[in-house]
Amino acid sequence: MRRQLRYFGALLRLNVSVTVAYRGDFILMQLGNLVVPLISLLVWQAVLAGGAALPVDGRYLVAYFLLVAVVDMLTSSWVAFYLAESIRDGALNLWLVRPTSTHVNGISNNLGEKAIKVLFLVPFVAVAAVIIAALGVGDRFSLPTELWRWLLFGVAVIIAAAIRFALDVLIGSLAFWFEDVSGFLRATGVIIPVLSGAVVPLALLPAGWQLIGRIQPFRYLVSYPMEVLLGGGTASAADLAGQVGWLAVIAGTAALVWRLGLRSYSAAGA
Amino acid sequence: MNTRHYRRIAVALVRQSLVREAQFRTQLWVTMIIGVLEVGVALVPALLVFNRTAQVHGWRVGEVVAITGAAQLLAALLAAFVMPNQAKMTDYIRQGDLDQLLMRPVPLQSYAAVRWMQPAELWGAVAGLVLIVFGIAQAGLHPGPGDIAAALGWFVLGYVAVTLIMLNLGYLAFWITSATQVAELVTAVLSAGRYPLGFYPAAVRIGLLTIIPLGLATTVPIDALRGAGHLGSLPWGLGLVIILGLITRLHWVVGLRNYSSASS
Repeated sequence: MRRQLRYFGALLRLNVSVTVAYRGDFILMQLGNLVVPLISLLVWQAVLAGGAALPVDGRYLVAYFLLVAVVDMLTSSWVAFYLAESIRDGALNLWLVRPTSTHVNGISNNLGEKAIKVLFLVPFVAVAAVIIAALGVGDRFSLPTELWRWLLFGVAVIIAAAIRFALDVLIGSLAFWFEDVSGFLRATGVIIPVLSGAVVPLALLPAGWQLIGRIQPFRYLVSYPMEVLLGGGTASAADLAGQVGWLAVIAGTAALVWRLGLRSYSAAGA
Repeated sequence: MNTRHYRRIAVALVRQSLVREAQFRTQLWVTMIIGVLEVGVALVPALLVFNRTAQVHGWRVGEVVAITGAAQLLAALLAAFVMPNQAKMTDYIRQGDLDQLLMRPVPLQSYAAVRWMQPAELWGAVAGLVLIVFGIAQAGLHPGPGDIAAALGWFVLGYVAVTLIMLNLGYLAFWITSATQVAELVTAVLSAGRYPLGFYPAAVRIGLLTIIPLGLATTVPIDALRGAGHLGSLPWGLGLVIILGLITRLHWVVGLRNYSSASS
């Protein structure tokens, strides 16, 4: 275990330095992450200004759409594409003979990039909050002050990131059987942002859809941490158990599929 | 080089892209299915908005669905003809592939702009057209031939303007290591076209009609179908496209002069 932690530390340092080396690209990427939530914010503020009765107020919408970019980034994962590529072209062979797993590398890459990305993204969010206030779009941006909210939010974000990573490993592992998993990746890239609450707060779903929105697993990726922090939606203590439950299900399935895949792996290029 | 020569190049490029798509049939089907899925998902925010209210700033649900359709049509055409070539510009310049293009008996800038096509993305364009027709019918609009002609004209103008912007973003690879993220950023901005310009504050509206003029291909054509042809603004729209065309040509010429060939 101690040896694995040492490898993890070395890979983490490597990934942080690579991310810093490509800082220009990552700065633009973070600016791009903020664009869609800002567009959504402007649209919903127009709806609110038009007199529509929404279950949330203007202050909530401003906080939600500004912070959702940060939460979405913190809980994101991009390992599926690279994992599938390594299975397809045989690069996975290298990791099978190394003293640590490709997943340790994937986690260190995920955390290393996020450590730098958050440094770029938070100032953009702060500037966006100032501009929005200056333009008079909606109510003023404010953050909750209760410590317990922030602590629970931190826990929810960590579990959400673990679910997303496990889901990505699961999708990437399909490359053991499918030559091309880009269809799965594109489909999840379209569906997850909507069902997770990254595009629209799930609190704005019609009444008939609220229950489905609440029990489906993608809610725990973005919406649930946001509900915990901002107090909107339907977050309860039982939801934390639900989030842990989905993590167990998805991580368990990913581990099973990975092992089955390894058994059928013929190591292209060997 | 005469017109016949250009036509032969164009036919060869289209044929090659169709053969390439047919070669990866699974990917072709996946692209088509995902295209439809994307249209459905793109509609979700608009449908949620109009679940709460009957109209926003004078726009009703059918009209906004039509605008979402126009945005989808624009995105699909860009994905089919513009994005692949814009993405390739970074490779051409960074890896020196532009050297090979320079030696070919073709008009280089036009060739680099249309070399790669992804016809499967056009399925998204069909879905966009269906949305426009459905939205117009749902809104109870009965546009005349003049309205349709005006809408078509504005859409073409908007498409050309956005294409020229995207080409310039690709040419940024002459000056910076990778222009990919700049293009990603602008692609994210394109999602603003799914909503009427009237939803946005004045500063954003102006930006979406000038800096990234996607409003010309989304809100303005649908507004034309509502009877507001905006014909008075046509000289301004044409002027914008001409200026963007000149900038694009100048950018290419100056960039090419700056190109030092990565492989030499």
